[in-house]
Amino acid sequence: MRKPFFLIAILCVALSCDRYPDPSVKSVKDYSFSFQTSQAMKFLAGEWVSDSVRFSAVNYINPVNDSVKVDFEIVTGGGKITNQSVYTDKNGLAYTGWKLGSGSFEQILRAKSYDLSGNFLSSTDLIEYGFRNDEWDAYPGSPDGNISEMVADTVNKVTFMIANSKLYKQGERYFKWDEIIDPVVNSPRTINIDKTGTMYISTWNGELVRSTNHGESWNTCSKPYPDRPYYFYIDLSNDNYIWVFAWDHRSRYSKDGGNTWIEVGGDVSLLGYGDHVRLKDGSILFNCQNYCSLYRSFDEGQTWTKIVTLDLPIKLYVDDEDKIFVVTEAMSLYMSTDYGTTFTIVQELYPSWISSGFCFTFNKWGKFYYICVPGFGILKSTNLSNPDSYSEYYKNNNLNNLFIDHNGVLIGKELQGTTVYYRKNSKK
Amino acid sequence: MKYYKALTCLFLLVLCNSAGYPQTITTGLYSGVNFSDIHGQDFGGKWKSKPGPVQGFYLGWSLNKSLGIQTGINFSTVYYEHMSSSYYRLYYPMELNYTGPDYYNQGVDKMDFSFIRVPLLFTVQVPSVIQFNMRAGLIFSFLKAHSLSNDYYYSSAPGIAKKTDFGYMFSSGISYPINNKIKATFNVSYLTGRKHLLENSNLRQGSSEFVLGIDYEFLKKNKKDINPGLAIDSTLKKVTVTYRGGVDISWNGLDSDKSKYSTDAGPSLGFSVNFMMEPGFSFITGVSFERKGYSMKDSSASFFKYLNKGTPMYYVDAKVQMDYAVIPLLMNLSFGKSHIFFFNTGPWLGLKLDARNVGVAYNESRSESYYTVTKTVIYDDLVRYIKSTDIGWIFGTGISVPFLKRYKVDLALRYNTGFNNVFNKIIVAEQQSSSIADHEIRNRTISFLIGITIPQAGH
Repeated sequence: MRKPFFLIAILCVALSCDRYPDPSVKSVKDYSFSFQTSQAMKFLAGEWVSDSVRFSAVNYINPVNDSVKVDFEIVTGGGKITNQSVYTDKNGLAYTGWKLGSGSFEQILRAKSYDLSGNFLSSTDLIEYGFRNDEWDAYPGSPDGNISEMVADTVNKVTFMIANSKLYKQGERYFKWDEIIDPVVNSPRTINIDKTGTMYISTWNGELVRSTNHGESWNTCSKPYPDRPYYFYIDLSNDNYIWVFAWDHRSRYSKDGGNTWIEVGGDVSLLGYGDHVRLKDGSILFNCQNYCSLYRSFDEGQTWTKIVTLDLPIKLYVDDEDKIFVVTEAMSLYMSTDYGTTFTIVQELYPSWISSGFCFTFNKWGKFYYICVPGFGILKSTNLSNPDSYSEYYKNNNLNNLFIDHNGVLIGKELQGTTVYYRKNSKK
Repeated sequence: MKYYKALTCLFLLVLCNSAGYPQTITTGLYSGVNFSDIHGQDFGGKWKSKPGPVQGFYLGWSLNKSLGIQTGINFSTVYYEHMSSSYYRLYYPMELNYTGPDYYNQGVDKMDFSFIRVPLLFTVQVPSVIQFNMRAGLIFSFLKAHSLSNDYYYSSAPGIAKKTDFGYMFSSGISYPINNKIKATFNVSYLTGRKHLLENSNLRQGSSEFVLGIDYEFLKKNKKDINPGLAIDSTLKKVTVTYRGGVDISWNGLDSDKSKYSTDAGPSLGFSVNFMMEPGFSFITGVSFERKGYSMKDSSASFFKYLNKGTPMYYVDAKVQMDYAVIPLLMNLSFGKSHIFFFNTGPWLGLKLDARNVGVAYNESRSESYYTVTKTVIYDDLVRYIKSTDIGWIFGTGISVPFLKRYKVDLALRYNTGFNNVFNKIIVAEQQSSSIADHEIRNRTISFLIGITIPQAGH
């Protein structure tokens, strides 16, 4: 009688004693992966990144006994590697050499990690950049991705830029930038260069500094607005005059390199900022960009005469033959060969979008003009006055500004975002 | 009004019936252990069943051979301990782009409550060699002391615990006569409070008690003075008790994603009282503890429901277990030589005792810079997510084999289906996303049972 009783009891007790462990969360596999060779470095295409690119795979659960198999492969750019499949050493490191190719600007080396059972763990990329000739290379990093101003001294072979309110000098390679730290240069905002090679930097603090020795040293000029500790607008005309404007002051100019300042006359001096050009007849042409108007002065800026244009001018350029070119708000390029008495249309511009921040630029390198049309890209021309000489050089809707360094490398900048576009032409 | 009339008639009937029976006053002392089983808990985390002491005294009055009432007083301390879980993703939209595992809060919250309790129970005894008894009624609790820890309910002020409580008590046990007036007893009781134990929470007291005791019967005449014909009346001769135990193989009878769920095994333990109506035909009722549920083994964003969307995703190997007190009402047909074969069928009522989600889940997470596999040991209370009751139908068959002349051994196979979706969608929808609330749980169980029928006293 007792045996079945016990059997039942044992069965029931055994089933009932379902003891559940306490709830918990713990890692049973835990790896971290990283390239210890720096990411996003700049090289020339075809260069060795390193003969010993270092990859780290750390096993936190079993760091001593376990190794990781790493398969290296080149994803983009071509190039070559020295080791394709390696195991991490006791320090969790695996190595390979990597030479860049020229198949693309962004070049990717991928490390695929597997545990010793062959289970795939992770895929980690090392991205480096290989600059190529005759290609537009879009670099998304800093500081050049934040470039706002640039000047090039082709005589003395120096180029400076301002990015993130810091001054940089172009290094040995056109894509390398070295920060210039000078106690005189605080919070630089703009940089300009005149025909003599004197460079001027205006600061966010309302200071103006200059360098007469190709950026070797910088000296403070007299403040254009001594009572004003804020930034001002600056423009250097082709006669080496410095023109400044601040919203609560009249325009001023200095004809002695920023030592003394002369107030511009008339109501025009209150309208705003823009480009100033000394014409061959001695008159001064002024395009007030924020007021979209064109003025001319024959008495060193004391009185101004408005020039009637077919449309509202937002950008002024005058070539060596005193031909006046204006870009208008209607996105047309007009030309005048009679000092603004008459204008003829040269080109219709077709930006894909419009912004008040557009920065049309005219650059000349060698025998070519490069016109940056924001929202469109770059037009190239051998003769600005000849409509047939224009061609589409680079279609890029994001482009807003174009600079050319002292070696003729084109450097374009987006209106928004932090990508800078480099192009080094092998043919001058 | 009819209810009260019927109750009064029943009471008078009991008194009239008891007039011919020498009434007995029984007193006893008992001591044992209670295991906490809190009620009203929210989803998530584990309420541990902690042991605590219980001892007491009772006084019973037998109205006749099988019916009586019982009261007494006992002192018990109930200990509660909770390990909480923090499933952010389950309380916010599943579309959150979070792929890492959820973490249990490793803190432990403890509470304990000491009570003086006074039960008032209605008792039923089934005389057999080992006397079987059942009790049910009210229990009144008076809080004497308590403590709270870890500010689990945002306040540890002692005053927020309710000073009094009342609840229900169900008890069942056996007694073995040592001599004519003294019996050794073993009782299992289930207690549940009705008031919230703390002012700011939905929790209610609950515990299971296992006690050993000694009974002493007053006013009981010696055996030889009692007319044997009165000791076992003709009705009681037709009543037998069968103790059963076995295995429940249960699964979820829902229609969608059937392939994602599979069976789970659990215990079945209880007794049945068999009322023989005529040879070959009897009525069976009783109570059994049964564990129902299902298991799930697949990739899912939920631990108890197959959910192939949302984050984080887990490989889940988990079980949903629901504990019920099952009361069957069966018509039983016996046939064959010595009524060896039987078939029974009838409805059942299941009272939910507990529900939980247990198992393990693995979350694999990788990026360029890491690869982790996280193991989650799951224990989540699902009590509020499961409806309090379920009803269904039972089909059973088996053989009943005589054993040692006076006993019978049953081997039974029983199919048990629930009529309702016991997943409490309304509560779930209040707390979680619609993806989680859209779920069904329909109890299906096959039980393999073995039982032994004990003869009545005097047989």
